[in-house]
Amino acid sequence: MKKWLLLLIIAVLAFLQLIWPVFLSFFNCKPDLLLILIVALVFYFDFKTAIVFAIIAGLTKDAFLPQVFALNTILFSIWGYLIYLLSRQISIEVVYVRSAIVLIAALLTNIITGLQIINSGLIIPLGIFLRSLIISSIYTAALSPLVFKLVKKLAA
Amino acid sequence: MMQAERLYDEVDALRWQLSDLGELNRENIRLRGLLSFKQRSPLRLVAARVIARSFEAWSSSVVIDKGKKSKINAGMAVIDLQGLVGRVIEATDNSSRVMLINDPSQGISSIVQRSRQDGLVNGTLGANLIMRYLPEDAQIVKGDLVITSELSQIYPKGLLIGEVINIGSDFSGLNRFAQIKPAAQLTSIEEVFVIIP
Repeated sequence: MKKWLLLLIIAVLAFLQLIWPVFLSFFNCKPDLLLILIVALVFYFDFKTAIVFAIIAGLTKDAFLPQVFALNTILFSIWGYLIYLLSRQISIEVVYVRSAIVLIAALLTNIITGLQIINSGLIIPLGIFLRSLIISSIYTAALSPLVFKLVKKLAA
Repeated sequence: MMQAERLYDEVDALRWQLSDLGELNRENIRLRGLLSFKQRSPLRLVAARVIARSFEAWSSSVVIDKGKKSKINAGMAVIDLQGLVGRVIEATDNSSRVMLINDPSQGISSIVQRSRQDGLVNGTLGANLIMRYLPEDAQIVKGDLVITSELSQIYPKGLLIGEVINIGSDFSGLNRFAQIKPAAQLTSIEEVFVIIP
């Protein structure tokens, strides 16, 4: 498989996330498709490819956000590396284990993003903080099998 | 049998056409309202269409299809037919990013239209906004309309922000706050106006 196709997938997922329909947003929350992609890359590609495309996906996400630039680039690279280490320690072949890994990565990403916003002096009510944290993360994990299937097909 | 299938196909095609026509009709009504508003408004306005929304749940912004080529620059206020929508935070030649008023990094200097009580309206990422720093004896009641004040350096004075739906006291008990329901439908905006100063 030509690796440049992954660039196309990053662009498509970023576009999808930007135009995510309102009726598919639960409590104003949408899934983090790029996060699922970087987790899937670790599962289906070699480490070097996964990290390079995790950085590109992180840069793409940062480019569309008003928050601190490079936060997602750094986080995506770290998650890619940690999941790679984890995959050498435990068996992560089962889909629900992989979805659980996506859930943990999404929770951590959301906690760090939320705390970074609060740290910059902005006020987010606790209920909305928890809503953005929990619903976004669960939604991301729930959609992960679809992105896994797509990446698996491309890797084959 | 063949004819029945052909009729079913025709029914499907007509259903699609009907749905398209309904959508066009709704769009027509919206655009007519926008045109009429633009003609009546004393402000210099540039109409734009929303082409993308926030990337994630931690910020609230939209991307519109007009940019520097339409004389839109960062810092300009954005409204719709109902009220204040947000401000432009970034502009390229053909598109701009608008931070909505329910983004937590938004702070809008505002006043209650009836009593001229001033305060600061902040976004919460939720459906409502919060007006903070109201004194204990603040002249504010449910149903009051909140507008931008002249102290705001970004927004022109008098733009409708929303309506007071609840009033409470903050944790310290020294100040009160008011929950504001935004006049603009922030979750479903499709067309907006950028105010050119």
